[in-house]
Amino acid sequence: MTEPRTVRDRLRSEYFDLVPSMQRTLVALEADVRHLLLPVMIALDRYEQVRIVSRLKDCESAVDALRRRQEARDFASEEAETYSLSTLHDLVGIRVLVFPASRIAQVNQALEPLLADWSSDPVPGFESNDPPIALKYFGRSASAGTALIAEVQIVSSLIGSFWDVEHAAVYKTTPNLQGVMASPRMKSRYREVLSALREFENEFERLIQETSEIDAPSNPAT
Amino acid sequence: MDTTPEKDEILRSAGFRYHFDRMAYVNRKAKKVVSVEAVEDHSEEWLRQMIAQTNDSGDWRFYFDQPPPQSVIQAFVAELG
Repeated sequence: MTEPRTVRDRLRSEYFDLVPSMQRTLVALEADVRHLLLPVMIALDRYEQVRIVSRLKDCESAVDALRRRQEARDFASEEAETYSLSTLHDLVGIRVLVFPASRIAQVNQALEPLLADWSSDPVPGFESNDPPIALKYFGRSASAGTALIAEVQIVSSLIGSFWDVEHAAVYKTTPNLQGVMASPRMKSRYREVLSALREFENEFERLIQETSEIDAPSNPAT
Repeated sequence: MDTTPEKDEILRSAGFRYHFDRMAYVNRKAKKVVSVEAVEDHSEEWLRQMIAQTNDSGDWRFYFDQPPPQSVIQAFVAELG
């Protein structure tokens, strides 16, 4: 006798039905982002960079992300039909990594034609008056013509790279470890890391600015 | 509200430990489970009252914002042993 399909089995099946739409959304969205950011990228100074990284969430990460959204971190068999991976906002994601961070506003402005109708969901700063850690938007890609909701993030290069390393080193093989981060003790350590990265970037930028002021011939003070 | 270090300390002092896979605080002795959402959405006073409640039933008590479905409770309890 065959075992009944579990909620996870059903979601894995849904994932593979969604893959063509995910791929289409990714290609269209990345093309739109690259197109809109081209003028910004061309005008960058030699030391500055804007990197565009795109990714499709893998099947197990998607199923686990949906599981973690349930308060008991489990799927109820009696509610199997109510779960859908299409409710996740980040099956398709584009991350724009920006250095220095002072270019973030410019990148954000350049992407405005794409993101104007999207929902803004920034990653908040540490204190109420701090700037957000990252700008995050979710919405549908008009160019892709799919129903999928995708995510675009704009983040400083160092913090974005830390997230990449954190993900690859800790969660890639074991997505449920992300639950560790909901602990206040880990949140506090996490905050310290991001704060140090932000300070590093700010100091770096301050020193570059200082040198450019010395080099500027029009500045009579130096 | 948030799961502040103060709330974490109140729960730990009362014997709760953090279960990362379930993202909940569990107290085996008192047979109580509190979700991170419930901790976030309630005050420290609420937590103290929850801790003070006696549980002589022998069954696990779940303090969640949304009561978990029966199948989920069964799986959770089986996992806790």
